[in-house]
Amino acid sequence: MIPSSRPEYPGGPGATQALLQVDRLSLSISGTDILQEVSLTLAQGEILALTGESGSGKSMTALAAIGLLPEGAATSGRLLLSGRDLLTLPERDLCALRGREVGMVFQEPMTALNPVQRIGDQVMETILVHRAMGRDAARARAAEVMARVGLDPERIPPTRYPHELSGGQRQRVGIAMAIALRPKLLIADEPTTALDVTTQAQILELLTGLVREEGMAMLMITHDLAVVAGMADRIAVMKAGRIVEQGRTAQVLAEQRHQYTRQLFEASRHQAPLVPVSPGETQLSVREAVRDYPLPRKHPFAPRRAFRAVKGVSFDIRRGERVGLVGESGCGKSTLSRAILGLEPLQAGQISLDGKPILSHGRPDPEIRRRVQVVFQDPYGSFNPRHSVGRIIAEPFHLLPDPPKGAARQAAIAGALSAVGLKPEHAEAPIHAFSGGQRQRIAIARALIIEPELVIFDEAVSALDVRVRAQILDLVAELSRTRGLSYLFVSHDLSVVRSITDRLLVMRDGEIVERGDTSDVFDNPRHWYTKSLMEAAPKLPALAMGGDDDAGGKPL
Amino acid sequence: MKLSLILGATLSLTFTLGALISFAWTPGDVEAVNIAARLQPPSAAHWLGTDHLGRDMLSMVMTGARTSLAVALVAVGLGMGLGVPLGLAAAARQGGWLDELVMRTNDLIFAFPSLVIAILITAIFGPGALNAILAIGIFNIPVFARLTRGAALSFWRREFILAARVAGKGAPRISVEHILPNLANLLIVQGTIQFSLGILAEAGLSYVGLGAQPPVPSWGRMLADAQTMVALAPHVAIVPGLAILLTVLGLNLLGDGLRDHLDPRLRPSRA
Repeated sequence: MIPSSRPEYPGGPGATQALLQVDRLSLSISGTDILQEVSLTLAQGEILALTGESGSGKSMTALAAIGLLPEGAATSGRLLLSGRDLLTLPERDLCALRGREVGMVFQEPMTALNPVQRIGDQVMETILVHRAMGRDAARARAAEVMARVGLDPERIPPTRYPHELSGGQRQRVGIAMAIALRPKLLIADEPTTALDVTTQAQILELLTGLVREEGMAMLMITHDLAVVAGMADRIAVMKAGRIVEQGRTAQVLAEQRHQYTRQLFEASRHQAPLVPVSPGETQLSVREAVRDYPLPRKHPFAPRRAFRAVKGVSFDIRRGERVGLVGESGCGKSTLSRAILGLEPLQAGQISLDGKPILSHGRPDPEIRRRVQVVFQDPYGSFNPRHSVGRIIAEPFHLLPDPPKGAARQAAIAGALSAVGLKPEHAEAPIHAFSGGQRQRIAIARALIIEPELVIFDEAVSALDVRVRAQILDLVAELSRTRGLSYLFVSHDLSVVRSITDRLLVMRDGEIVERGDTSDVFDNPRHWYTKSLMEAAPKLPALAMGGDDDAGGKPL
Repeated sequence: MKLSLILGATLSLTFTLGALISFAWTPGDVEAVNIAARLQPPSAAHWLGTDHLGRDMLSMVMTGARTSLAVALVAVGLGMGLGVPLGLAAAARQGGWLDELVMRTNDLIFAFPSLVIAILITAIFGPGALNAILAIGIFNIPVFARLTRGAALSFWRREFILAARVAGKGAPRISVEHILPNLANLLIVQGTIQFSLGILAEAGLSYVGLGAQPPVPSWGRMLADAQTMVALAPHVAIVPGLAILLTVLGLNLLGDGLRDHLDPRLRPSRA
């Protein structure tokens, strides 16, 4: 049933003595319980995936395993690494152990590296800190591991700085630092969450290869079941500080004994119930849109150079249509969506809505502007932290010539909140009282309050946990049904756009390389880039599961 | 961290209170000269002693605080009142001609030694409290303009500003509605620190005779007057010196304490 492309290897689970043994670990930070009786074992050469949603305690478990718990943490239980209990070890010994016996790869490769140090020096530092070898030997070892993680010294010499590298290359440097001293245990905390799908596939392959060849053990933390389905030997599912299910990957995925595992699994494969629509006349029309960004001059008299982010893109969205725009970071999809919103001027071409240009003489026309609204990616950054929910939602009223006041305004806010599944009382609350998923609902309420004809969802579910993501996608599908909303769904995630759009545009390097009906593109991708995106996307094994088609539950 | 805030607030409050009380009452008359009672050490009648003209030092310090605080307060208000809008405007038009104009003028003003130019200004336009305020205030403008611009720029890249632009709001409205309230903490902290620098500058100007003119007492001139008497009666120099030191120290501690207290990055993370 499970496609076992993974080769069997010596020293599998249970074959050798446990390297890491967590025994009924409980943790509380200033009185709040974070972990409760967490028990895990990890043998040499084994990959254990720790999955769960944000706040489930998976990262805290990882921090405990490297002795980096925050101040004020009270623990009970045992956490044995090669027989030594890390919970009782003094800081001095922990320092000696970190990097040498336990290596860690972080989620955000940009912030995990020191921006003012050369990458080679940073890899070397791990070695020198432990006085493992002399300077020259350390330099040689650093070069060796950097080559091992796929940083070609010809193309990416150790003298580069982090900002000169791509996200994937930076993550490779992070991995090189973590494995420089051949630790026995490698902890990877969401190592591919910040990366594009094709890069993600390469990094996952590299990590798996390292574990298999160097005989390390890896504790992989991720919220994405699909990522670990193909690589982990065992999976532990966490919820609210407890491990609710644990076992061999194939077994956990096939049996899904705990209800929560089932929910996670269903949410990952969730298909929003999208009703078919017959699109009306052309609403949005993008014609040969070109957007250049000026680059700094090489010297004061050099001609101005420019980077062309969008290279003559054309497409239409018809009334009621649901269009997806997919591409990797830097492909120009965000620039394009900002141009449609009238936030960025075009250097050539035109974007018009219902036949009228969005920008006339560089200024947006409020009459046209209010027909397009947007939902941004970051549920934490897209609201003024000092404003109440009501004030945030009512902001687009500014576009109306005669905005409602007093009771009419309150009624409009209450209506918008109810439409997205929140309560009218929430209008008074400050924004920080809401979770990520609720915040995205508030963002949708803000976009809907002036009843726009077109909404742009700019990576609107990328920062959410799978279950919350499924709920928001259901909400979007419902709004399309009840309000006949047309939208442009911008995402780097193919699985998200598949369930929520009728038509798909694939963008690469500022150009649309493939377009067509979503199902056609998925069934029969023609452009090589679309194919590579689909191959790289992590997939959950197709299990024989009944009644999957109507898995879409009600929001909340 | 908490101790510095309490200590700073106590010191600053003590001097503010002293200045306020001096409007209604002082232990002695600061304009009554009594040569017979000159240079007396601290006693029950004169808690801080008397100066070279026999005036009560405590009364002098209280009334001098009034001058110092008023000059520094108005000067910082001038700097904030002009600097913050300029900084907001420069950030809203980043890279535009207004930004260039504001920032290059800033650079120009920063290039001059502030106290020397303040002396020049008061020397040209005549000594006095008002000219001292102008001279100190001018050098506060670029400080606030630069600080505001830098902080505002980081907010302009946030998504909630994009959302406000999608709602059709223009740069001036966004600056006032969304950016300014988020800069409030930063400005309060910087304002406190500039306030203490203003007091130092005022003391410096009146020390060279270019601040408030006699008979209005001021700490800087008290120090200048005490210069020749230090050997005879050390307290006439120590008292105004300590007043300046403690006020500046208090305000700096208050500023640092407020920064720690108000900075959201130092607070417990979001719920």
